[in-house]
Amino acid sequence: MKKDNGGFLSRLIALSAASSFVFGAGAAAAADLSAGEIVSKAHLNYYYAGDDGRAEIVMRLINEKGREQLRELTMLKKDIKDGGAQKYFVFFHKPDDVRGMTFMVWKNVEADDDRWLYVPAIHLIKRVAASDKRSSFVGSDFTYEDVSGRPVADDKHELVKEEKLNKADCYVVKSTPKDRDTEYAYRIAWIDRDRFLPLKEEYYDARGELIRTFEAAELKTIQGILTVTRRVMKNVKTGHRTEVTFGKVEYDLGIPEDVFTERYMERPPRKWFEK
Amino acid sequence: MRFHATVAMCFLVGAACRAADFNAHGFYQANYSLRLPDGDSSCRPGQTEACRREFVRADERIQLEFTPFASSDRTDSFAKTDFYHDSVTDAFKGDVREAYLDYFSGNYDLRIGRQIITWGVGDLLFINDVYPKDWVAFLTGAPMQYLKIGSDALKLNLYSGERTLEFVVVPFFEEDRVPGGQRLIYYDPLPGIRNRSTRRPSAKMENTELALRISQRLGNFDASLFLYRGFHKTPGMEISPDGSSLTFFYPRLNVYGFSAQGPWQRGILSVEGGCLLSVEDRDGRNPGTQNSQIRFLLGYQEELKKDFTAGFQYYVEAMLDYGSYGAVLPAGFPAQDKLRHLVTLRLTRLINYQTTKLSTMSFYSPSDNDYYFNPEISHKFNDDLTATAGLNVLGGSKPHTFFGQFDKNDNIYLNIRRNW
Repeated sequence: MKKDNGGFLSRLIALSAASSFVFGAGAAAAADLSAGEIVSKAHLNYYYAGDDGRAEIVMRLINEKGREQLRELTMLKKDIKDGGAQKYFVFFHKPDDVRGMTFMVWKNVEADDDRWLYVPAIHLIKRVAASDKRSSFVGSDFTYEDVSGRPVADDKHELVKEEKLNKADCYVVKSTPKDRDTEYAYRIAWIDRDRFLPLKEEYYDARGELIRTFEAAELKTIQGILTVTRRVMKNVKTGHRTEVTFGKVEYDLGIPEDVFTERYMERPPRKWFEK
Repeated sequence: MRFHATVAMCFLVGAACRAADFNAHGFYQANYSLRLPDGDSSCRPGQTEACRREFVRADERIQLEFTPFASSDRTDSFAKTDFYHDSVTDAFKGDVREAYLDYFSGNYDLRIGRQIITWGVGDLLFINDVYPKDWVAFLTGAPMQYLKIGSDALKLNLYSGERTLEFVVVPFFEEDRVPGGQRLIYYDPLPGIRNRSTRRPSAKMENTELALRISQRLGNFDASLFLYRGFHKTPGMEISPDGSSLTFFYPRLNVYGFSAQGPWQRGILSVEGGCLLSVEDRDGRNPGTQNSQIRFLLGYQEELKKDFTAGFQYYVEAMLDYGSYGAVLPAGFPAQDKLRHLVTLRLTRLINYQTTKLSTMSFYSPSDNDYYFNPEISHKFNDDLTATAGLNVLGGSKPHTFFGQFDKNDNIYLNIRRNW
């Protein structure tokens, strides 16, 4: 989910104008934009669409034998600052043992995120540590950082090449974490050159072996905002994969900021969380 | 036979609820716990059952959770009821875990009815959580949520800017369920007195419990202040002048406390403290009433590596009137120390895409020299079927300390839950 304070539509128009202008002059475009700028733009489009947003998310966790686990959740997000602070609110519908559980994140850029978890069985709201960014989000192949975004400045970016991926012109960018705080050594991202969205990512370990892949499997334009509505993360080593579908995506709903407070963790407003 | 008929009925009710869109959910659960053999088979009077190798828990239950009335933006309702067969006593029972109505408004929420309230930041250590608990269920391997019992209460939450005020009124007293029957072996200082009774606070207006919590953010921390006026949830005792009978009663209690929880270093730091005053016995002259105490806890939890979390706590309680405690303690009663220290360590490891959970919770008291150790493994076969197995191991060097008295209750438990 992503956002744009200046109006996404205007930027989209500007972007498409720019891309048609440089069409056929890929090398020139690459020279114009640094790898960091490319990643920043994609990051903004992917994580900061609209001023706020809502989606009904279905996650299918599939192991190498084809056995499936299901997670259904409603996610709200609100951007406090474009490319900066955000607030997330997640309400779990399924499976039954986590139904009614809510999870709230205040994403901070300079400091660690603030996170809260509400446990309905004992009506308890507790703080959750934010240091474990690389931990699995609800048992899936996505990490917390995959869900709310890894800060662009945490990595060193270099443009490797440009190539077509499924007919889309892409920048291929290698991003290497500055601190060794990740389970991977570097990742290669295919970023759509016209629309600035990551279409594919490959994660490699220190020996250069592929360990994990991300794929933007379906894109839809919603309220003028190009949105990745199906995302697949696969653990190449184990064969386990997670397919995430974003349904009923809506942007710019005017979600009040006070929804993202402890008050509503126990009693999530029906208006936002009823399916 | 009766049990099976009831189970069938519950399924039918469940199916009907779902059909009628009551938003019904629930589970079937089988929970067994077997006492582990102990070399010493001597039984205390009245506890003949408890010293055999036997099941300390055997129940099969259906939980039904539903929304009895249509919800709106302003109102909601919720009910959670268990129907179960207790195979140890061969009794069929129902248990209304929660049943309440909600009203929401701009700056306040109101909840009326039976509700579970959890306050404070301790992990299984309670200072400001003045709400009833079922320690028997907990010590015999029931899932954690069964430690908490609902309170029949009115709860008003007021929201004013950054500050939240929670006001709880509990007109009907509900005590902790503590080892006291024949199921668990515990320390009984007066085994000779068999004539026993219990006096619970009656449903009089003046016995209404009142609790207040004020919360707000202090920097990165969530901080709270607590006030409580009510009763101890575990009993004190009174011996009749002729020494022939024993009455358990629940002394009046006031609690003044605080808590704070927030990020520190790479984890979460928790601090909580409280002053627990036995107000009818302010100078601690009555040996049958719990001495007033100050309690304090400091906890830190961190994910050491991916899906492996460690949580450490230090807890201390100090008697405020230790001088008079010592002076009035009847001869032959074991004296407690003025200070009781406790350290806990919880380790949790998730594997197989979080479908398998390995955990241990350990308590050790250097002052009482006693311990409680609870390793557990839990596995989700699929989204609806979970099996859990674990051990409760308790003991200590003295037979009367907090954990030491439960020495002969070590048990191994199994729990299977299927959602429907």
